[in-house]
Amino acid sequence: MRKRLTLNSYNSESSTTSSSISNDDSDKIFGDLISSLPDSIIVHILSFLTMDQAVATGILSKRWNYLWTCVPNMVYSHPLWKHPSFTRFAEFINHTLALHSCLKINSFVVNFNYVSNCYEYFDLWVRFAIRNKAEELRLVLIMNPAEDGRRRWVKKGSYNYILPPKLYSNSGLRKLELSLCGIAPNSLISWDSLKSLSLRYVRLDEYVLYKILLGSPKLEYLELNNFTGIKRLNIRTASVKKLVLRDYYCDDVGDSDQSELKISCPNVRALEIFGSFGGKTCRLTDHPVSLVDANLDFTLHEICRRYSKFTALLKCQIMVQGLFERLQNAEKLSLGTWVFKAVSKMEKDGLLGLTLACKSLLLNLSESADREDLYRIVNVLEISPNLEALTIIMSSANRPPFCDWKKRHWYPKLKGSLNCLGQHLKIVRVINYVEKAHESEFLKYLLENAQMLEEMIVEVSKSGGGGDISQLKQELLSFPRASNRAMILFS
Amino acid sequence: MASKGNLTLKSCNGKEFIVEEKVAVMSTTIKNMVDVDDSFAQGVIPIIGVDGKILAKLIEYCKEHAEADEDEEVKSEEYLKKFDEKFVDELNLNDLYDLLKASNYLEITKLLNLLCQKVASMIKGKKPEEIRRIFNIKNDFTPEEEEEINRQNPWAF
Repeated sequence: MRKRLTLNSYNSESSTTSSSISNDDSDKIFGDLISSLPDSIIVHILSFLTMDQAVATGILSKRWNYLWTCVPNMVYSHPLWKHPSFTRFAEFINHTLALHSCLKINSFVVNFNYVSNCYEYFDLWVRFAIRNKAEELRLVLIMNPAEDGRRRWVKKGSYNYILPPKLYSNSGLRKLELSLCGIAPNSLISWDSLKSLSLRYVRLDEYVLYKILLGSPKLEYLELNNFTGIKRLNIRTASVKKLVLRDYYCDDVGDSDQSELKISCPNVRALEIFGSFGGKTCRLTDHPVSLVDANLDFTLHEICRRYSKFTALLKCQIMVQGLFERLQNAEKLSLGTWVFKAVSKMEKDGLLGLTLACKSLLLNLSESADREDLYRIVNVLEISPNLEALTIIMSSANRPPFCDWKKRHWYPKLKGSLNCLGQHLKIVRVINYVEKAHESEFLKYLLENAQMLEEMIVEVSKSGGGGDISQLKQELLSFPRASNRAMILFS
Repeated sequence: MASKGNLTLKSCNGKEFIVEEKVAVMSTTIKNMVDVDDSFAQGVIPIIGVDGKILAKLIEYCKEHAEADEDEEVKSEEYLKKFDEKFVDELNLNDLYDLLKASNYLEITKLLNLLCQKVASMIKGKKPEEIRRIFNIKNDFTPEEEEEINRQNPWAF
């Protein structure tokens, strides 16, 4: 409410002030003013460009010829759309490293696609970043899930590139992101300033992880992305505030599929679990008392594929129930499609047996194509009595239309029975809205029953594919509301 | 020194602006002046090389951001982002250069970043010819030199 008010007041103010300032005669450009700026400003400008663009400014004029060699932010992106060979891309990087003349760099970032020989270049890049005291070093592999390289790194179980010993002791590093790099410190790790660490496509062992945490006293953000090799994840240090886990790989050696991934992170404030965990399930072994924000967007498709229906169902239930027992006090909760479906099904079958404390709930249904989703949303609302803000991201336009929920046997008992509608729900936001059938019934239901509602925001899908929105607008705006403060906004 | 006091800033063409201290010290340069020498806090601070029009713009920017720094509730991030966008969009090239130099000299880091980012966005994805035209940059390379650079820097991968 408040935000919107200030926004409006800004718009009305600025329209009067702007005219008084810019009615001057200086619209004409007098000569090459940009080149007369001091070097430091031009270099600052170039540092907002990726390196290929910064280097390309060298041809503008003699003044610009070598300014790019002082840029402290070196960001290279292997452009997917141009399909150049990785070797040429890597050679371009090496060429710029040879000419670069800045002794202290802020960041060195390479975004690249997987090729089997990509390891060959890592050593030079990592050493360059160390020598130039980079605060941020990121080698970010972007891999298409369909690519077989993904399988290859895990099958081999060894790396072609192991980080140089010098990197393990670095007091200037603040942000480190590595892909496909083997981490094998012989002695202790010392990353005194490190705040953010992401390890992608990485084989870890518990001892290495222990060393990393021991040596990074300021670490706040830890992300493990496409990782393997551990059965236990102990993040007990007080500094780590956010933990992100994405895609665990069960490899063929040693790590049996049946095992769990046991996670202990009592001090984190935010936890995100994404993707697939192979045949594994994960479990939080203790209660994260400081947890505020949980984002669960994983699938257990692999388990369903590997086990008989009964076993798979049991495993899924145990994992989902276990997680929600630990996370039920989180204030902010985001659920991906799979988790959303699992939770609502368990609630419907009377298997969940808990209520959620969340005040803010995001349901991401973008991968759902189910006619019963409206009912599922109601299921989740039933166990969220304190909900203040509800966000729903709808799926794409080509999903089937929702069922007519008024015809369902449970509809009569639904009327006014949701606790959150009576006391708390203030904001409803529907993103990617497509009008097909019965969507507006749901919105009307909320308008009719949410007594504290302040805002209902409907963001209409840009891809279209639905019915006429102007009619919906008319209908909603003239619909009786339980809360006389409620505003309806379309965007 | 009273933190809520006002400071007087004087542009190079003699225009004076009375601003709250919290707004003025968004500039690290002014902050250092005030911290070191108390007399600046009472008297007039000359802003060398910055004319009245540009100084007014700087103050407009600093006002918004100083208030936002003080109380996040009053001005949301979303609001500031909108303000920033509008602020840079309304600038013509000459003002942009003058503001760049002024924010660099006065060390208003947030604004310097914003302006540099704006110029970078005008360069992004454009061919050298286009960039030269937009910024009025004269190509002083001979064709041979240009060819040489093209050969040395294989950026056109």
